[in-house]
Amino acid sequence: MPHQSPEKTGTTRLLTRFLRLLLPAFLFASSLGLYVLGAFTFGDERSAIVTRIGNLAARTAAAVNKISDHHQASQTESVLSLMLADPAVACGFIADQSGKVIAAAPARVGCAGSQHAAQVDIKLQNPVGATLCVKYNLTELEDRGKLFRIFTLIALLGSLFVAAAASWFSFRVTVGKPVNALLTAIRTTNMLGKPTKVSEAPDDELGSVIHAFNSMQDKLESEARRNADALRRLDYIYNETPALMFSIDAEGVIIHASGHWLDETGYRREDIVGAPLGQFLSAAPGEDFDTIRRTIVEATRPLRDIPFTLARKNGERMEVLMAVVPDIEADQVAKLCVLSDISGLKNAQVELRRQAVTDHLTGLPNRQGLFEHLSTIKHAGPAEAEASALLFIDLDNFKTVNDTLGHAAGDQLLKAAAGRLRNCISRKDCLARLGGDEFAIVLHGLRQPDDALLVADRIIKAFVNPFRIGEANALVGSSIGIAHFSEGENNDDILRLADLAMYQSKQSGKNCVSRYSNDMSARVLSRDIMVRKIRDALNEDRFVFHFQPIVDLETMRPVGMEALLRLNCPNDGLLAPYEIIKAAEETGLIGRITSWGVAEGLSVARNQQSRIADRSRYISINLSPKQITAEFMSELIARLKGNPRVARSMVFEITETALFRQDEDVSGMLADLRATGARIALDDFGTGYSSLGHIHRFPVDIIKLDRSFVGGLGQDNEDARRRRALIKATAALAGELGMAIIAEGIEDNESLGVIRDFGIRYGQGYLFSTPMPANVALDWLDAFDRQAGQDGNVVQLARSKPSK
Amino acid sequence: MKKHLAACIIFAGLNLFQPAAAMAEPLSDADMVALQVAMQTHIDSALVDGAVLSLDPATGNVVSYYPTKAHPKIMTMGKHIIMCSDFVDVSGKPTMANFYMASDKGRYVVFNTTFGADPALEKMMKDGKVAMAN
Repeated sequence: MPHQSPEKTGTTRLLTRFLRLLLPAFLFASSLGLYVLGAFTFGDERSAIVTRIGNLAARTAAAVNKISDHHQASQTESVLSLMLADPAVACGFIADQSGKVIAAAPARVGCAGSQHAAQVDIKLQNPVGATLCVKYNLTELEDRGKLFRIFTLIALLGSLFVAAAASWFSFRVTVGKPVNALLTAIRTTNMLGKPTKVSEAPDDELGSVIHAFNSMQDKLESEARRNADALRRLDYIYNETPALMFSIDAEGVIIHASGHWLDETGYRREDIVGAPLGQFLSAAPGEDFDTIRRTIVEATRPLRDIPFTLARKNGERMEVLMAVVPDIEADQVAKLCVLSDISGLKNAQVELRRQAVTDHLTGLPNRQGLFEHLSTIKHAGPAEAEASALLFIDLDNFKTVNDTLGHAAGDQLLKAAAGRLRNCISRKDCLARLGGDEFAIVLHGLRQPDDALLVADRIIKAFVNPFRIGEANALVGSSIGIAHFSEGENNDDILRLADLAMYQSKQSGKNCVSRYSNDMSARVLSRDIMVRKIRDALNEDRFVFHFQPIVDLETMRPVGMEALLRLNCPNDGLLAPYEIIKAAEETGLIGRITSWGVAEGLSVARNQQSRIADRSRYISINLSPKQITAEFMSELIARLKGNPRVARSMVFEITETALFRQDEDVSGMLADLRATGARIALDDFGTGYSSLGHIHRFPVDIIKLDRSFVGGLGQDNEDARRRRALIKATAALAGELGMAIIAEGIEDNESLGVIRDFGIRYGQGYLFSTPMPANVALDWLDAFDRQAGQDGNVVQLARSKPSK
Repeated sequence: MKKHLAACIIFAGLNLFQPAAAMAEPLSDADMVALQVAMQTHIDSALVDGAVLSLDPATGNVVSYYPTKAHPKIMTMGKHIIMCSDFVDVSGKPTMANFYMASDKGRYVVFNTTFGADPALEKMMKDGKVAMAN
């Protein structure tokens, strides 16, 4: 800190006041003192003089009294003249009784020139009656008084001058100098803004003031240093914090911006300081910039999340959110504005939005995207709706391909299918994937409703040729449903109606197109009712098994019973399994049904060992492909392991679809199941993509030929001949592989004869028995056993309506 | 507080500057000369062989006092005057004599003289009955 030497600055007024107070007092006191001194001194002087005069006069009178008569004149005058030695005595004379001067001093002159002097008379004894008169004056005193007064005046003036000079000097040294030093330090502090100390401090009260001042300056300097440090840190933070910060004044004009703001936007500081907010910011769409700006400028409390678009210097635009913090300082109201770059977030939102409405596999709009597209039709007005239609497309046999060739192949198929569908429509139409193997197409600009049918036909033709997936060919068809926008009330409605129409196409044999009609809703409603019935049946334990015998075609003895699912409906009676299974599979209830079925089958096998196991028979239960999971199978295997005898009397029927699932180790699970003693039967053989060449890799004991192969085998037509050839070949190969074959659906003796001729050992069908309730079936077995005990022939029952 | 302070200052000032008990009315020069003459005349008239004789009541001895110098100070005791003069005894030992004087038709007469310590005068001075006249 610089130490300032005291300069000769303004203590003149203080000195003047000091002297104005001091000197008059000094003068008064001095005058009074001198006056009193003079009064006392000259009082004593006067007393001494008059004492001297009185003494002299009395002594002179005493001396004259002693003079003899004849010497009286000359001696008297001599004695009188002695008085004159005293300067106060002016003259003296002796007057007789008559007043005549008989002697005087000075001789002969006497008191001629001293008429005005004071006189003292003393009666003499000699001469008798004479009086000595002595005239005196205090001239000497007066003269001395004059001198005294002159002296005192001079002394007074001199002392006044000396006092003034001494006061002036002393004041300057003791007060002026330190005060000036203080003033200088204070002025320097004000001017430079830096605390300045006084270098010298006297050892008195002013020195204490100076020490206190210097101490205060030290504290101010420390505080100023701390403030400067804090300001530097704040400045650093302000400029280096990775946030877009700037400050505006009460008019919304930018007064400061952080370094990071400048770096990010590319502007220079001089570009933006003094510029209005609107030069760089624009409001979000739909917002009024002036209104927002006014809100910001007038804000008295913090604001947040105000959306803006910020223009960089290079023209790029950033989406930002602004937070505003008012900063009220004295009379200036400034605001700190912090921008958060949400461009990435916006982009992410856009991408998320896009992903939310886009099918990841095909890149087509998904269901949500389709709904948004459908909304545009609604908002476009009735005319647009009239000229629009929705096609709901479900790929036929896709599930088989997916399960057979794997999900990767299934995905490729879907993408390829999407390509073919796209080629069937125009650019203004919208193709979407709803999920799974379901697609939707929104047709625009239809001149007439039948134009939608033309597109549908085009699609069906496009799927005639198989898809090449790797080294395999996959043939899928398309079941299409059409609904017109005029038929539905909202987007969900249109889609649902088109779905119903598609369902109709499925029911009609697939690979065709159906247009929605009102009765379809009734049928769907019927499916919903079925599902409800299934749920109720599960909750109320109204599922039952009907058992159909499986017969050894050589001995015509029942070797097993297939458990066929029935639903005992209170109002509708016994429901056919096809509708039950289909609805159950569509709704996921099949798992519960299968679980019930397995439990029920095991229970029958366990409880009817005398009829089943003891007679080397089995119970055959169908397993849904969806049920073949590790969890389910491990539980089943555990239960079978707990009762090996029951396990050996169980056959579990699975379809080809279950065999070729890629997401589970089906082969392993079947092997474990087989290890319990149970057997595996492949149901509906011939309806899928499998071949014996594949099947031999799986632990299959029995092959059940589908009824579609068996029915009408005795006919003489090309179809029957082909089927006979296939069956023959299958039987031969199965025999070589050690697999048994059961022919399902034997309904007549001609078919039976053919089956036997091919060496197929077992059969099932109405020719032998219809499916029977458990108790009836057991009675049937008992009756067979009783009769077999007699003649070994099969008991033929009357054919009933097909239930499978 | 200020009123009491001012009253004290004024009282002190009055006490400081007024003669009151300690100071009598000032005598004129002529009075002082007359008084000195009267005292000296009385001394001269009482001289015996150049000395004033005084009876020491304590011892019964007659002491001779020789006049030296008159004092200028004059005291008043009511309407009477007390003046002083220095004497020496035979051995040269200084003694002060007080002359009590009364005024009679323009002249002063000494009616009492004390030599040496004067307890009565001291008491009267202490009691404020005697004041300085100059």
